[in-house]
Amino acid sequence: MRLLLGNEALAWGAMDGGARFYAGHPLQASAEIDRALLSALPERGGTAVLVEDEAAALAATLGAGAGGLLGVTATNAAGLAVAGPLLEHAAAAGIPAILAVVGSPGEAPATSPRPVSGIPRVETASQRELGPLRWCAPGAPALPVYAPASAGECYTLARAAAHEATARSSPVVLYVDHVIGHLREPVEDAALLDEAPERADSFRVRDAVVLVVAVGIVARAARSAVRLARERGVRAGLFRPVRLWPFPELEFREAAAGVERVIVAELNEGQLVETVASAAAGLDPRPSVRSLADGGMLEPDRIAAALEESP
Amino acid sequence: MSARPNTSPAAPRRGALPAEARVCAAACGLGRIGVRFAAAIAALRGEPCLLVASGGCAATLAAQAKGESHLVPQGRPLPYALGLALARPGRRVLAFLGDGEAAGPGLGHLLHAARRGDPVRAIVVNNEVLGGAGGFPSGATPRGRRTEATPEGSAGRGVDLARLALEAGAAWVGRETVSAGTALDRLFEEFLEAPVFSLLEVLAPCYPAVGRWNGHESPEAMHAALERRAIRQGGADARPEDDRFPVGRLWPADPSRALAAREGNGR
Repeated sequence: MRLLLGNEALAWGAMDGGARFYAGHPLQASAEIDRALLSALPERGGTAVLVEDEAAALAATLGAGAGGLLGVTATNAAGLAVAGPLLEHAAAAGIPAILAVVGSPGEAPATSPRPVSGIPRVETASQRELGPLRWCAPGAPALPVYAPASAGECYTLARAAAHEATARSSPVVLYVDHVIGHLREPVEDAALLDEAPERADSFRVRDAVVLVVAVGIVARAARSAVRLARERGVRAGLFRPVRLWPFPELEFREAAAGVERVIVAELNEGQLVETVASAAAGLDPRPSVRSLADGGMLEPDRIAAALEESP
Repeated sequence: MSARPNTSPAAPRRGALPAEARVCAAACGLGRIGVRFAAAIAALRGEPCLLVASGGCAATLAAQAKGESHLVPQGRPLPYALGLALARPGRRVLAFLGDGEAAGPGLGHLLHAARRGDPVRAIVVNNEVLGGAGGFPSGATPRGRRTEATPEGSAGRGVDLARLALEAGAAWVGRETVSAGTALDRLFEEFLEAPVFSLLEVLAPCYPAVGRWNGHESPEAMHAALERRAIRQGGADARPEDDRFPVGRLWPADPSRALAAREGNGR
């Protein structure tokens, strides 16, 4: 058992899964991943190199993957924005790689009259990358994108991502929001955890009439919200896609069967809600789907209030 | 037809060449480079080279080579080649760049590769124009040079790629014209054995995109004009403003220092 930041756990998981190469252009959001790989990879016979920008980091990681070394690199929303052609190339050429995208800190929405200044608080997050990740390799089928919600899951999913990238000869993306990346939590030494991770995580959905869908830190707030709502007599449940893309529709339909309402809670302007609505459209009875979106943070009380609203 | 004034008396009509001529035009130097370099690469002992390139004219060399070629997105051959070389130590990794890429989206990568001493060999085929895109000025097009898209002359100064690589710390830098014959062959052989990071710039002008817009009556006349710009002895300090350039091995001046540099940069 170790106490690790989500970002550190991700780096250790990738190494334990077989990553032997790292190229990076350190950014504030993902710097702990860079630091862990720079210090630990050479000791394990791997290679770590710092390069000039995000595109170079991903390109070098792909070069190593093509040369037979599984590589990992970490970036943020800006790096994701220049990753498209390279990920497309990797998907087409069958190059294994792990790309960790650490989400942006929370900021006031673009419409806020007040300017945001100073260093962003660690305990805020934005999930503005949820939608772009769906098309991160624009000309290729959706790449597998996993969204851990704890440091422990950062470790297990990174380890599984390394196995999957090698087995499928494909890039695999890990999406860690800014809070999950910077939460320090106990992480099991998971030498025994070799089974493939679940594609989704459902909480108290069996008798639910209202379901909240959320990923990352919002899913943890939503879990508390489900408990709060249940205490007040509302039969609420939570559906959390662990594999964010391709969206686990089958698991969602199973969890949402029989519910009257679905609430999609996310820290952006509503990027996941359309996918959920389209997955819910095939259900009978068909639940209503609404968005609970915010650019800053969604606390349990607010999600619980949405769960308790009368339809 | 275009309303733009045609300032070049020797220039033929726009669009006079078929589209496929833009890939490898008449008298294009790429064919010559490909044949000569392929022979030198085939004569190397040891494991075969790995080639990396992106789009553009220069990439056709890597795309048509036998053996392992990696065609990657625009601008990224050098960092990709770094990862490939680190994963496959002992193999020579050659990145083929054009001047459009090396003096454009790949310029930062080039300077950092030279600064770090990446275990990569870069060949820049410099035709001083974005030929494949249809004759637009590149970052290496000299000031005032007319191209198909800018018949009034390119406005900015062209960067000197070999000099930039040298200043950034490349272990070996050379430059030759495509018409230099055996001098180019010898330089290329030296380049293949030189310490890394190394850069070989080959000036290979493009007749349809540049030559015919600058008063050259034939590809041969264009190549002769290029040879007149080359400084073959003792002119290492010539600047791009002069529109002339030194050729040969530009760095290190003393080949015995190349060995010392190789030790220092060995990975």
